[in-house]
Amino acid sequence: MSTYKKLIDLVSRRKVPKPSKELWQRFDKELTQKLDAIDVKKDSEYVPFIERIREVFGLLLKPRLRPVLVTASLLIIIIGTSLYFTNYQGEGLVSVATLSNEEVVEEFIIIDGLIAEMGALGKGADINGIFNELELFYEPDPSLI
Amino acid sequence: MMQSQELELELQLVRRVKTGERRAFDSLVDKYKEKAFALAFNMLGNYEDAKDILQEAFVRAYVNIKSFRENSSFYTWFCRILVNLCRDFLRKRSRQRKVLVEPLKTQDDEEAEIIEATDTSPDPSEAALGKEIQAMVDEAINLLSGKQRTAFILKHIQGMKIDEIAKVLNCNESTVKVHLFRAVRNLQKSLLPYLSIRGGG
Repeated sequence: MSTYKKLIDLVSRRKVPKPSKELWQRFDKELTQKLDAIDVKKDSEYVPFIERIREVFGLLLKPRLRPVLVTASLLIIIIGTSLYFTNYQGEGLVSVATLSNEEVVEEFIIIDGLIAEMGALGKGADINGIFNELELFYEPDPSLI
Repeated sequence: MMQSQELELELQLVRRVKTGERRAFDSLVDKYKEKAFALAFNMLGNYEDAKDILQEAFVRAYVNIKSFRENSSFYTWFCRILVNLCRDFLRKRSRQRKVLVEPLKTQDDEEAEIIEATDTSPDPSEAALGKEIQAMVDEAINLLSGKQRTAFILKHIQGMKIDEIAKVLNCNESTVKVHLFRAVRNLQKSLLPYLSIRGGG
């Protein structure tokens, strides 16, 4: 038998603990108490949070505060809507689907022409002019909005 | 080796614990408490400490169950908690008592039933020799460094695989192999007189 095997054989003879029933009873009892305490703590943390939410909502729903709540909500809606229209009025994406077939064909012809002009860039074409045209082209057409 | 079906059942229990089902955790406790107790006892050396640390480990596992990512078995994950607690405990104890580790002792030998393979021998002289050997083995294991001892106990007493031990010790597998190799070498040195006698016999 190799030394390693002999060694493992020796170690396998080491004490295997088998505690008494009384020790296991104490173990189970104490562990249950500890886990119960954790569960109680979890519940007690949860309940005040719920109660606090209820308190806040209860306060807001008092008859005296209802007009204030309604006024505040209306103000928020009005301010929000007006801000939206102030910032986004006149701008928007134009859907190709809203264009008629003829309009779409026209747009494509213009793009095609511009791309063809891009090929002439090396031959002294007016690059600023092309970019201006492209810029104008990609600006939303007010008549389509 | 844990079968895949068993592993799946265990994972189901873990998932139920994660949803807050206490009874599922109690099942896990019942399933592993004896095996885990053996580990704690082998690391700490007495029943009361092993009991307290094991309770603490189960409490921590219960509180932190949501951080168990299911990339190992529950027992491997739990062992990591337990081993870390045992190490902390031993560190504190060694600071307090200025000794490394006490030899294995049961707190109440009358209460505690110890299964000793050597005691099964009907010959009293062999039984006495067995006890002597037992004491030598205990002493030799306790002389190992913390990581060597833990790796050795997990491998040869808990029957864990190298990859599982690596997860428990939070190191790579080659490091575990090094710890095991050094543990065996040190044990050989400590137990050489007995091994040579036994080999001769």
